[in-house]
Amino acid sequence: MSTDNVLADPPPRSEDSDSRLARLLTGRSDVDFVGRSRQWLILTLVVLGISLAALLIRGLNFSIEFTGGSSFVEEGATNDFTADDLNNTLAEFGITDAIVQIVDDGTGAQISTPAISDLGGVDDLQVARAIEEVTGGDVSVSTIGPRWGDAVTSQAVRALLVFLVLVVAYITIRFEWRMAVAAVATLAHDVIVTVGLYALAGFTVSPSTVIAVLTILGYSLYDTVVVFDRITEDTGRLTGLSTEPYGQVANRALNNVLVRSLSTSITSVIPVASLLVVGANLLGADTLSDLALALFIGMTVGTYSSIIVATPILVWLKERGRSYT
Amino acid sequence: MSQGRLTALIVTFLVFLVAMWAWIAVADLSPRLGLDLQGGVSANLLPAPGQGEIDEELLDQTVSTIRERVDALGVAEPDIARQGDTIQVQLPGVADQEQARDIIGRTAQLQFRPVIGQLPPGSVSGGDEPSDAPTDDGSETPDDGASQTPDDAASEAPTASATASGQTCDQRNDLSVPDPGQEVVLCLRGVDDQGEDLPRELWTQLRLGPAEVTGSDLADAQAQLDPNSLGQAWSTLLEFDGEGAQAFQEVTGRLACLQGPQRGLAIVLDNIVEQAPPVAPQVACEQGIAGGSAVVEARTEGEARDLALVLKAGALPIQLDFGTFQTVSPTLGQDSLDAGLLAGLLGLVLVAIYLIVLYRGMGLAAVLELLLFGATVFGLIIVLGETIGFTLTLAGIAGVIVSIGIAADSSIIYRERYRDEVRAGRTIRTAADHAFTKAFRTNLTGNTVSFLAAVVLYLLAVGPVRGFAFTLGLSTLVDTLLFSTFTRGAFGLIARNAKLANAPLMGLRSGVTSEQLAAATVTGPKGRSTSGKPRRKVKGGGRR
Repeated sequence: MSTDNVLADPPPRSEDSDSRLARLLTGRSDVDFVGRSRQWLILTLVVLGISLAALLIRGLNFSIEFTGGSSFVEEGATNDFTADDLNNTLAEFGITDAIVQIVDDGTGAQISTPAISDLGGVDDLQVARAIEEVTGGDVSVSTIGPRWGDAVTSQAVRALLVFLVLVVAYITIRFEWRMAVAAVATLAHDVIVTVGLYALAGFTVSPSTVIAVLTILGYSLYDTVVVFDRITEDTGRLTGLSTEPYGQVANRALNNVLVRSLSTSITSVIPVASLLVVGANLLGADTLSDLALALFIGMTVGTYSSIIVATPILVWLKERGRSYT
Repeated sequence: MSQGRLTALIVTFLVFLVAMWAWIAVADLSPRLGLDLQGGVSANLLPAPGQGEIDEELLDQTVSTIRERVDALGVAEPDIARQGDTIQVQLPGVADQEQARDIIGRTAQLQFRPVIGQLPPGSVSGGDEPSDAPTDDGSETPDDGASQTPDDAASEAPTASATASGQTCDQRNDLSVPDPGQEVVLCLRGVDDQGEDLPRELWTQLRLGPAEVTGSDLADAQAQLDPNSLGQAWSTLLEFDGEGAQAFQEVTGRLACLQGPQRGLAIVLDNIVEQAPPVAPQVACEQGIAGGSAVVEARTEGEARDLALVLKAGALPIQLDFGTFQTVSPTLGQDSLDAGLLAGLLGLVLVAIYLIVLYRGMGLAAVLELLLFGATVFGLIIVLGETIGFTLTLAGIAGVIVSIGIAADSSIIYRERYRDEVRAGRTIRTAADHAFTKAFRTNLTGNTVSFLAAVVLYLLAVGPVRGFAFTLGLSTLVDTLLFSTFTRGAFGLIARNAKLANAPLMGLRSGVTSEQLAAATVTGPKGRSTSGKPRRKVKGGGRR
């Protein structure tokens, strides 16, 4: 960076002719997040409303892990076969409502069926053998009992509650209770929007999705905590004599961490996106792609909300109390 | 912090990393792969509903019963573990999936059978006797009171046996529950003086009569301490229900008329004789033990508790449901592993490009940090697989991939902080040091939250979540470790090196406007007059 010729005469800020990006990268971004919180609030409420409406109207599309059922993944077929061949094979076992997909140029297949143990003692392993006979490949079976999804979910909900209690305690001790409230409100926002998007797009919810949502909680909090850390540091310099309102200082702190927030989100989302792309092209790697999709959505929402949602709530709580603590 | 100490930080970290990988290379270790990555059978079992409260001890006994069965199946490296109420069974490379499913899902069967005779360990014709002599002579001698007279068994006619009596105990791998109405030859669990299991080839075989009492006749079993014994004598109390009490009295009355091993009443779980305690000498012939309860003396508290659990597992069968049952072909496992590694590599490369674009030379240092982070996490996964048996699953790989973001974030926080400090008018060296202090605090706060999430998930969740939570938590720790050693040291040293600090490619001066650098000149804390001249930045160690 060549500096010498401008050293003597720095241009005044108001006439800054640099682009927004340049200002952002050089720490001079001054977006008024807090001052415009009314706009953000309306936007946030609209998004939340759409999410809740989607959830109520469309509902969630649960995977066989929640409803019970079997999935078969066939690989490396040596015989020619069609989806009809497989459907006929399944029909011999009385399975008529299977979803059959042929993949990998006709050498692979993915089949999901509802719970077949209900069908008069049909055995998923026998079905797998029959498919292997048709295709000449290897078949992997995954059968999920109807209670498994509930067991996983109830454990997850318990984990969530414990986690929330611990996090509220930690943030209260480390920072203050208002930040804990703001962080948890932001968290609720992230989860509702993520789940709402699942309902809206009709994505399948599997236990992996539940895990991912739990991880989003951690991530969203992480992001919020980093922002709050900076706000605490900056507002800590405020004294009783200072005339600058909390909101203004908080807003400056937000702008200061903006590059970090964006960069972090980008570097977090990149690996998740590659997981999503690779996972989507892989047979039977539902765990990977389910995880990646929910993480992808949640991380994006989490970054947005730690700036747009968390800090305005915090400032609102603070300025109600009218004291700098 | 002096240059020397910064170097020491880097060296400490690198020594740790090199030592770990040296061990991995020398011991030729590789990660323990989960079922989803190497192929095999995996199942999660849940207690069926409507069985009331199921305590942990009973689940633990169920786990060890399943483990016994799986051992008999001859699976290499089976992994059977209890996670909360769920029992997870992982069997790599199982040939007969039907059989595997059959044996892991079955309820434990408890039978009481009279001892007809005894076969020595190894073969029918006598041999080494396990050296566990009976140690106490109470009203009933526990387990091995019957194992002293091998000749009886050899003299019995072998023709009546229902199962293969020619085999030794380590060869027997039939998993069928013996027919209650038939005579059978079964193996008696051999234990040493400490109560540890002896190798199977040292176990003796017993010829047993038909089952006289079964698990369903038993109402309860618990370990108890004899109140008159000053806290020494442990025993197991058996309580039978109405029908059971009668059957038990009948069989003990009949056995009381006999002598030697034939006084023994074998307690058989599935197809292993757990103990064969003889009926006590004072029990009268044809009268038996009345009252619906009996006591089996034990040498130690542990022995008494173990027997109580064995009896309960059979008496109060925990009906298990399959939560999941999965078979993974080795090809699918390999594909998943490849995909996971590919996704990780792809993510790493893209993040590296981003960091270099954003931070130039300092970004390159950040990429080095990322690579070291990857090497540390991967090394630890291998080491933990070896030491505590951590198994890497697909979900675990996802955890590592997600943590790439966390690791990159630490580098980013540091660099953004550094720029802030320079913008606030610090010199490059002091900016680097101040930025570390602040960034490290932020790193600790953020990572505490992530680590908390990982720990809670690991402890409370079931199934694949745990693998994910484990690697995520591990990565968080590695991130903080790396940040406080290598990252701090490397950044500090670069900032102290005039050539590097001023090289445009290092980017230590990028991201800051000329205006801000000028401000640094005027308001710099130490009143420096210029910021562009290299030599001023090299004060740190006082030598260079």
